[in-house]
Amino acid sequence: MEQEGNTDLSVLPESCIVDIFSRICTSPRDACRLSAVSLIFQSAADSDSIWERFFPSDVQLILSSSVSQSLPDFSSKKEQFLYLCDNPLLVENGTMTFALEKCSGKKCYMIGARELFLFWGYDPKSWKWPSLPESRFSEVAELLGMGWLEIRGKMETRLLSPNTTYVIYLVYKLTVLANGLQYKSRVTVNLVSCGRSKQQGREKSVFLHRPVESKLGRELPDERDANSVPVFTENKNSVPVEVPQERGDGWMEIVTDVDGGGSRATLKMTEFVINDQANTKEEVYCESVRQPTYRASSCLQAECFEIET
Amino acid sequence: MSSTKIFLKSSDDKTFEIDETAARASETLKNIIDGGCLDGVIPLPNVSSNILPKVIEYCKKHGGDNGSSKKIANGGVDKDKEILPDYDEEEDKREKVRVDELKKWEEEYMDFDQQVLYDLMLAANYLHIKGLLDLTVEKAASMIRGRTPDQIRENFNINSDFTPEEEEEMILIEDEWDDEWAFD
Repeated sequence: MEQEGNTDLSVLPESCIVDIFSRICTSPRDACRLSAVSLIFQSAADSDSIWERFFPSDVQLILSSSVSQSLPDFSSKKEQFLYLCDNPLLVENGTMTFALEKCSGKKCYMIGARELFLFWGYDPKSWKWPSLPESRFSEVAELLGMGWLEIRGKMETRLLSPNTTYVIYLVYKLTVLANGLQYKSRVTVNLVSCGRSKQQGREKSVFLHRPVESKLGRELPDERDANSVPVFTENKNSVPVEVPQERGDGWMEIVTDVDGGGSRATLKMTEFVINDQANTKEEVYCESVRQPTYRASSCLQAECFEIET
Repeated sequence: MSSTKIFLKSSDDKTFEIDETAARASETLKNIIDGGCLDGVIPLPNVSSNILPKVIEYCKKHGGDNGSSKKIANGGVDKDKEILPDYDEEEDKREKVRVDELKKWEEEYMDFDQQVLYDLMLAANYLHIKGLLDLTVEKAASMIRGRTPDQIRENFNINSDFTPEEEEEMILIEDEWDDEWAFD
């Protein structure tokens, strides 16, 4: 190891290497890249003093409010970080789950269906509440049928990090016989302070059920909007319509928030969180998925809204 | 200030002279001096005669001035000063000039190759010279920042010491992160 004239980084004490690395690693991605260089790099890049910087500052508070089964004993901060990325914890009395976003360490929350406002959610003819093994919540909402589907979710901005852009998803599954959801749905995200709308998101259109080009040779209509663009037809004037994507875990998701522009638009939390620190009543409302479902024999299992960076 | 001379002996038995005030820039030397264990010459078995003059040069510049690197880090403005009632604008200007001059000096001082960097960092670490350690660590960081593992290995003359299996696994992990990254 000791060469004539030290040209090998390995001559440095680990404390120096960790010091160097802590100036370079601004994200878990950086740390993983460095750990791929050599064993000495790996041991410094995997050290707790590097990884503890990637957690949100209030992570201990969040973990202590967790109602999930007790956490395993972690041998390192890195192990704990990766665990929290892959294993969402039930928090806030089990109404939400908390996880970390792997690349940035930012907070991801998922709001369980029981915490959502579902139009006629209390009506057993419209919705039922089964347990699904693949859901992280004890119950999910299953739509049996109704003429008007409306789902709303909200969360307090105090739970989110300042200066951070969040994306909101609706996470759901379609049952085999799902029907009647091929129409365009309207989605808005609003920031509400003390019951008054502070920022009204632009309305956006989504499909909950990816429309297939009809075999009957006709397009599926949006019965509420005579001027709507027929599904999957390229129209130069059309506003992009979100279609659902498969998640890795067997659920589907749709990006539901709006900010104008891009297909993966985001709602910026920054100014609200910063300027209104005294106001803990502030909430983000996702007033989502308002859609006419005539002939409503559709089955929709709305799991939750997931909010992540 | 007293200008007591202190003698430092390098690992290869060469002796160098330094003012006590300058030597106090090093926590290690300061403790030896204050501990009263000063017995003519302080042996420094971890610092060679190639590096010791460089260390002494730094200490001379910073001796008896422990706060200098902190002021640089704050952009040359000492915040405490602003709330003092006898705040002196002229004094502040002179301080700024001094800090700028010091910055320039440090830039020139740090212009050396990688080999000196490691030895100097080791010496700064051993002698507990915080400002010097900070400079060398930042220089090393700037040589790694934004580079791929392959580039880093090349720049630093490092051979990957992973087994082929570990190497394989690394590539898989790397790809996995790249995938996650792609969604961002």
